[in-house]
Amino acid sequence: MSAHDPLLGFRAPLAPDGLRERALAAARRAAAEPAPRVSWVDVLWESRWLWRVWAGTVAFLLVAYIWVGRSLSPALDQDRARGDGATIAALRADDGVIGAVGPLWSQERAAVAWGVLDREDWLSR
Amino acid sequence: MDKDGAEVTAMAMTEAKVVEFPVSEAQAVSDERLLCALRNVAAGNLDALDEIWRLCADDFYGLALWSTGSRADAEDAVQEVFVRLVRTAGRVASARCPRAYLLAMVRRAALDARRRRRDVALDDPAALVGPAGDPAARLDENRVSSLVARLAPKLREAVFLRHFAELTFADAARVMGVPTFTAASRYRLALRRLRDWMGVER
Repeated sequence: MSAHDPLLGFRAPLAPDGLRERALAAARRAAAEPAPRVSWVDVLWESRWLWRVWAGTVAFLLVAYIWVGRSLSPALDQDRARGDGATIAALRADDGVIGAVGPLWSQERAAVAWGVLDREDWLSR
Repeated sequence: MDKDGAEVTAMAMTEAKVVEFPVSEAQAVSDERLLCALRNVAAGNLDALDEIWRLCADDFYGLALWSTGSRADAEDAVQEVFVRLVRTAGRVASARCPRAYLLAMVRRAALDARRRRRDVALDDPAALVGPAGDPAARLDENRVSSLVARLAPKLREAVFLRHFAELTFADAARVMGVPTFTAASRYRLALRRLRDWMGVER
């Protein structure tokens, strides 16, 4: 600390009178009681890491959804116009972009979502 | 900052890293006594709570008050920490820096209190600092308190942990749950703002 320290000459506030008795009495009462049961649900709920993983997963899926959509939309539009599903067939052949994202983003699901494949037809396979 | 007349810590920042020098001998002795008290509490000796109170209560209350801005909330937070302490003393004693661990518990309890209230305005800025030794400082006590109250809560916490609780930047960062550089930056930013507001030359 230097003479230019703006807090030089000051101290932190002291704990007020009476708080000591109150806090220690509460602690002794707590020690005499059985410890409350803490469930794993509570632990996970309080865990900031859980929320980070959850937020990260949502962000990843959102980015993947947008990326896949932007990547495939033009080709799927052409498929729809031609009515041949060539893009889906090509993706199925080399297990390309959509397959890499995971089962949720399978070629058939994407094709149904973009209207290239008929939903009933897909469900009946 | 200096409670016992000895320079406690010094800090030099370069662009590449934060350099921290070791804490003082007095601080090390205090930490050792705290560790013994925590082990006693963990073993069921609740009389050791008095020792913990003597060693830490002012830091606990100060941090809670600087964080919540409310004396009632700060008192509740300190009490909450002592209640939790009797159940977790063994875990606290095994922490790398028990004092920082306890201050993290205080900060969390204070944050809970602040969230419940949803109002971070300080109810009594004059209570945030007191004069230490120099009678001339008493004149500026209210002014300094009101300026400290203008700081954002996370900047106030950084100042308190570093300046009054005398933690290293690494430990202050652990208490706040941020990287060491972030803690150092917050501290430097807070002091710069206080200097600017007070018109203190750097």
